[in-house]
Amino acid sequence: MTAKEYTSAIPLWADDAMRLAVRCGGSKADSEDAVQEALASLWQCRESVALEKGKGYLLSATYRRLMSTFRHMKVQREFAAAEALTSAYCQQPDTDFDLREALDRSMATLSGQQRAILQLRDVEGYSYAEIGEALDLSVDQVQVYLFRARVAMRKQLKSMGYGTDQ
Amino acid sequence: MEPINDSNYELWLLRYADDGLTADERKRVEQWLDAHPEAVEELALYREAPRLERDESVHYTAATQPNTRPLWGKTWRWTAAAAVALLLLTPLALRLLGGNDAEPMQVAQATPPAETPRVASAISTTQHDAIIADAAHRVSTDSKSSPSVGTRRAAAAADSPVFPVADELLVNETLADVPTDTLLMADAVPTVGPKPDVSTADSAVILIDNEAIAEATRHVPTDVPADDSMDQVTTVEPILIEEDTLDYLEQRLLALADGTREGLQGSYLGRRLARRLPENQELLAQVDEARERTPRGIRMVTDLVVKLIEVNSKENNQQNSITL
Repeated sequence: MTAKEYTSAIPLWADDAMRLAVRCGGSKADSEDAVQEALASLWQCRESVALEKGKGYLLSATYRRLMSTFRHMKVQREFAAAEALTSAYCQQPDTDFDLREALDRSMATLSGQQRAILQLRDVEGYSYAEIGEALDLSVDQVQVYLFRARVAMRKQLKSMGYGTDQ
Repeated sequence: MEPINDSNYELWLLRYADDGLTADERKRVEQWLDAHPEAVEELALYREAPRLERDESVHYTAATQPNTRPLWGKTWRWTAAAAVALLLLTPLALRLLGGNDAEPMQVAQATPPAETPRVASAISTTQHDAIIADAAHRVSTDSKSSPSVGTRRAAAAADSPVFPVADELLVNETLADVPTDTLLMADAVPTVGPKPDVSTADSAVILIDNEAIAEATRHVPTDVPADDSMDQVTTVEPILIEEDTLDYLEQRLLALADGTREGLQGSYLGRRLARRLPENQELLAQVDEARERTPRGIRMVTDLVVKLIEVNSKENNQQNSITL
């Protein structure tokens, strides 16, 4: 990838990387940091990365940076808090909040890896092989994690009062 | 593909739901499902799960490209002129700085190539007068205190953006980029804010232990948790600070803000400084928080470094009070 290609492609890819980071549970600041560091990494090794592989590289690097940040910040506590919050909703279903909020809550119970897989599959339309390459997983692993993520998310939605008709 | 069983049924079910199986395989799955009603429920949940949609409200707004604009001008002519001017002025400045032979002002030391000191890379011709005037002031200030240590003007630094903006600095500039015999003059770096008021320097002199600061920036701490970003840090070339002014430290830290791994290294310095002040637990926590937010947090760390040194100096009221 040349510097010119980098310059023209990044504005298109940066938002996707940002969405992935946010979807994985990063705050706006954390997500921007992760994307920025991934961009810097891509810039540094742009000559060895083909243009068609650039977006995958960027998404993968963003994901790794964010997960690294999470490890530092012990985000598990945030996940636990989110889970507790969700459990509270499970005990006392509240049908006032909309589906999007319910989706966010159900997503909060998933691991960062599962969220990344869902984002790359549903939003980016990546193949299982591409997701595996981005997240350093085998195709079988991607499929199993995706299956579990969807099942878990649907269970959460159900427990929040969202039935099959919603 | 292995026969369907309790350990791989999820894989089979996903492929079944995604129409990724042959007719024969689909039949095998359906037969297995007949004997496993709980799996039928899981399959239903999988199919009912909503698909995520692109969130168009999320945008990346920070910089998308590292700034590689040269520190000292946009053209090679400018840089060359600055380099020539520096070479011509170095002996004069050295004489001014080291006017008292018994107590020479510290300058970059000749070191082996592997430990080439990092210094301001060049000085533009328009800054000559300011450098010389400031050097004279330094000599004057130092003569009032221990001549073996440097000085800084903390009061001015606290209120005005005296640092160069990050995009004025070379990304990934390395120590080796800098000539070993170059005079280190922190104040030679162009500023975006008002120049610190030299007249206030006497009331805000803070003395820094040069060797301690150099030591702090020479080694990466060993208690760094292992992960991707930290791995990068371990490969950073040592940064040697031969000058002992805090001005230089501040500018150095801000220069690091553009490079993640070096920014992290700068943040370690902030933490080390904070550790020296156990009574400032809140500040220590802020440094920790800033470390997690590299590179953005590096600016916060920089401010804290300045603040910590100021606090430390006032509380201890002694020279060389920062020991890392």
